[in-house]
Amino acid sequence: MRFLRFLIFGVCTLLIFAALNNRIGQIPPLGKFLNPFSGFWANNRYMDVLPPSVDVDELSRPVTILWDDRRVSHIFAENTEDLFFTQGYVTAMDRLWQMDFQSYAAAGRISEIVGEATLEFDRLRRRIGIPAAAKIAEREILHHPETRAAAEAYTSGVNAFIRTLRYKTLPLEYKIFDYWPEHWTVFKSALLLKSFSYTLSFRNPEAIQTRTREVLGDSLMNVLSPIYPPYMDPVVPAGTSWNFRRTNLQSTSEGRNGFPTSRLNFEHGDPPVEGSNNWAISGVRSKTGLPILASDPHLSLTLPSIWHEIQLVGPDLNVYGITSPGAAGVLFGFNQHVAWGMTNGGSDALDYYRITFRDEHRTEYKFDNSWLPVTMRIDTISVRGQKAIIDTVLLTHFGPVVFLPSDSLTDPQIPPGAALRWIAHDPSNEWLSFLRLNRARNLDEALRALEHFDSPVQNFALADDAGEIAIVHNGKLPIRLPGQGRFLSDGADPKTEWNGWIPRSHLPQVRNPKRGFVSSANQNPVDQSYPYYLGDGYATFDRGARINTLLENASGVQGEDMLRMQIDDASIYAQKIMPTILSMIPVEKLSDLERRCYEELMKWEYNYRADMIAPTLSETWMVEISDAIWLDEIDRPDGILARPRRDVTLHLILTQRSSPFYDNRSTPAAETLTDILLQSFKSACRKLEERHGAYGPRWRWGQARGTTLGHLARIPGMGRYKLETSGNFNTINAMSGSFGPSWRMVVELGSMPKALGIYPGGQSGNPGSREYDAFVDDWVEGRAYELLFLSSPDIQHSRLPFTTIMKGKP
Amino acid sequence: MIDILIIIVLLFILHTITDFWWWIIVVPLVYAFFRAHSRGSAFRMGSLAAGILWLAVGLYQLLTAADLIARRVAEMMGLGNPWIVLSITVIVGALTGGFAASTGYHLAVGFGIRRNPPQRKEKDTDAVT
Repeated sequence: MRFLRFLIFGVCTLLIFAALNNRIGQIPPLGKFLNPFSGFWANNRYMDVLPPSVDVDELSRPVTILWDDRRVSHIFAENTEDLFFTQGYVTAMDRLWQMDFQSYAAAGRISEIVGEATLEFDRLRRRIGIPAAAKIAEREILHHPETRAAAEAYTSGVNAFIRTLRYKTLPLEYKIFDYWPEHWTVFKSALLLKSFSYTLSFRNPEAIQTRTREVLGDSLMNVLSPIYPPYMDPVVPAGTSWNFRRTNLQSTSEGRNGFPTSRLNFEHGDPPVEGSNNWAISGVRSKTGLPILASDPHLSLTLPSIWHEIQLVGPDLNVYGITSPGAAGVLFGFNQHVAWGMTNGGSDALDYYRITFRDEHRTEYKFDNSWLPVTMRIDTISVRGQKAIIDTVLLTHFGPVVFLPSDSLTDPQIPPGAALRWIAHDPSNEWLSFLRLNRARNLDEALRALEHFDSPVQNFALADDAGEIAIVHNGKLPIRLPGQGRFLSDGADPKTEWNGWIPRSHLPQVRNPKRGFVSSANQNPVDQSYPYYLGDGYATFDRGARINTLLENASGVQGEDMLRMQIDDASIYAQKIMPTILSMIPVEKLSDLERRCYEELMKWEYNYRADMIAPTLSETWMVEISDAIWLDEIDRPDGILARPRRDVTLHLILTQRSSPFYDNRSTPAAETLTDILLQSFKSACRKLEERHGAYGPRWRWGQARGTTLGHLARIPGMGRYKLETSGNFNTINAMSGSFGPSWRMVVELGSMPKALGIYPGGQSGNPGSREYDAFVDDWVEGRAYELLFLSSPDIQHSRLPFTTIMKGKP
Repeated sequence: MIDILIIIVLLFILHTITDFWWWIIVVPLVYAFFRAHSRGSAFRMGSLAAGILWLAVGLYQLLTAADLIARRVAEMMGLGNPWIVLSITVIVGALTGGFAASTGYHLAVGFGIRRNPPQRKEKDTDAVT
């Protein structure tokens, strides 16, 4: 009896221990997590208190860190190794969990942390070959002494910080998911660089375009998805003459390379995510007589923010800007002499090749007149709480066959049974470009630094303090036949392979143009006159055209003017389309509510401002118009086709009063443009009433759309939700629901550069600190901070409240 | 009363110098093994000691530096209010401490260090001490 009681209580206590010590489903281990001494309660404001001194064995000389009032560290070191070591240490202090988690994500290892739920996510990353590409990148980084020294010093800095951790001081997310940080490695840094390539260059419409062409035929395809879109305003201004001829053209294939794709399943297109801008004006347009550079890359917005701000001062460099936690140096920024910023280039860096396997064993595939062997890569995916999953990837000389037709796993962008040829798989060392750009003393040195940058293709805008400006569409670009890569290619035909690389000197670029500025906004880099074909997936004209219009009229410009331009929310698209479509609405056929909406739009000056209702009306109406014109053409019983872009819709409406596209083929009546404009207007008003209730403040753009900065691992409660932002994807301030300006920077060059900057987040990755989202409200309001570019650690400044001394070995 | 205070002091020291949460199992269990006179008194000393300590420290955290994190964790857990998170913290601490102490008492009985579980009447008198 007495033993029985002991047994019952003993078992209960053991069960309590097990239940509270382990993560169960989505619930953190409650005993550890709730312990008020070392659980989540310890991830409070005090966790961000800065140490006055840090002792580390690895440093050869003491390093001084000045912290400014926004927790930006200004690091002063006597040699480069100590500098990057300290950058690694400080970055880990602020963002360890984020960089570690992002490296897990790129490697396809999230299931080790989360469990089965993310298995498909992981498998896709591995099938695409991101970890394999990172392995090659790591080799390149270690092969070059400059990048090797930086990467190794940075890595040991991160690891020196990891050594200081105990459970109490672990970042919150480790406690939620119940795991410990891994040692940092150069491979993890390489993974992060490759995940940028994935984010920025993996988008590719060729699968859906192939199917669309099959159903609609060539001529209709070229009307609905033209290679060169209407209203094009390219990065290299039209009329620029090219002083070279196209080299190395040998293929005779006529570029018809489509294949049956009826098995592909496409979903309705997502709302567009796009938006980076950069520009530089020369001294003739600025007040100081020297160039100003502006850069605002747009990305998916998360907390912690993708960027971390820093100033690095060493024996041969002094650079300020932002970097991705995990990468040494600065990615977007400026030094004493040069400023730079990127936008995504968008040129086609990826093709799919339909593979003809010899038999169902898939050990050989057809190429030219022979059979080549398929290599199998066996991948083991560890999954938390269950047995590891074995996955087999088939490799061809093009690259991996990402999906087989028999796979349950799908991605509408990736055609099953096709091999992926992607530039990110090739050896390259982009890091070298950034490290040299960080040190560049003039435009020539900066341009030379870019020669090592292959992927993802970027428009680099540059300016220097000698008064020069330039923009380069920079990267490794395959030589293609006109239109090659618009559709799926035949992997058995050697003529469909790429014809080498466009020489660096032939890349689209402009230096010190007569118009006194350079700019880009993800649009076509060049027009038809450029001797090479680059791709067809660029952004529409509207943002770029707005930037160019404003800059053409700019003079006596100062930094604040450029910031005002970055938050400009006027839509050239709305300005072009609205007068026409409003004039075609028969007002007498509108209800009271509809008339009110109509009048709101009549008064509107095409600004997407948070406190206005007109932007909500406009945006909802545009979606309805696009549906009314195109849905009956593209929504087929066996799947959806490529939706024509908004520039094509605009061109159709402005140039053709009657067109067969206007008729809704599913109704007996023959609709005209007037009919569908009226119908779509009424339906937009009706939908808004359904979504937001009666006409009123909840229809305002800021509330109706809203922008969310979700947590990186989608943990509820750790983000900022429904921020009332202005701007739209077709304005310079290209804001969307969870996508937008991830960094706004303006640099006025001079004897000392003067800069403004802001990103939506905060320097600390600790959700329990005010520094986690300290910049968000100012970002929403379109404000930016004066960046402190320091030249010496001895400086006294009211905005430098704190100093940390990093001590080396005594 | 003095038992509870001793357990609280022991727990506070161990919680401060180490990060293990399971001191709220070990300390009440061991203490009750030697000192508890009944299951009721064991449970009471364990749950009160762990509960009071976790309440005091949790309250201090919530009122000083942990306001932001408690609000975010409340949202994460779908509770809406940081005070509910504090309540759960205290309940988890108290129940764990109580069960652990009861186990310690029954362990002592099992080893013959204590008498059989006392009668209801004796238990009441124990509780007063």
